[in-house]
Amino acid sequence: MSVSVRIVDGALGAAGECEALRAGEGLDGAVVVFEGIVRGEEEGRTIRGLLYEAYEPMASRMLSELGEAMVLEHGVRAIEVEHSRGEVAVGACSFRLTVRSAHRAGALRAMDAFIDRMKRDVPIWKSAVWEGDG
Amino acid sequence: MKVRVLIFGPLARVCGAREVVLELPEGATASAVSCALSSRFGESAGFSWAGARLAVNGAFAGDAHALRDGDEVAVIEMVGGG
Repeated sequence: MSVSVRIVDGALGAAGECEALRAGEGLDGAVVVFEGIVRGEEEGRTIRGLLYEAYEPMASRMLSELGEAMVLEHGVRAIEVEHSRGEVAVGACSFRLTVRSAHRAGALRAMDAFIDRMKRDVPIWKSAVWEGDG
Repeated sequence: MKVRVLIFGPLARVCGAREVVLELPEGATASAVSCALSSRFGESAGFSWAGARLAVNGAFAGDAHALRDGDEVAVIEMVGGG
């Protein structure tokens, strides 16, 4: 079992190379990656980006505990969480969740459940940065 | 005693404050923070302070949680990561 959490300033870089994603010593039959991308509109208005705030270290600790819960509940082998803080421009990636598992079904369930609970409980906030904001 | 209250995200924008220091009586519990914030900011933008989720020193705390001088209280509402 492995859970890693990384909160980084600004947009996330590119996802790992395919070889890295496949690294699992033959244990992973499924690697599911979700990327959250900043859309260009909020409440019908054009935005420049989103501003993320995280209450640390509580946010990182809860993301880690949530990952551990997914391992136990859905039998996945590994969870990797990356989340932005600070401003992220439209079109850039602000959240990436990678779930590794022997089988597809558990990985997909864990992916969905993780994101639902994160949005409900983890102390991370986002606010629109409107065009023209300082 | 004094506690430091942190407010984040859209709620901070509505309140016009990101940090508030409250003077509370000895023996006060977390519910006193909700009451004090409600008095100060009102039911802003449809948000009800009663029952607001609070964290004390980085862990969720219920209304009955006893506060100590110097505690850090965070308002964990309107979260929305991802």
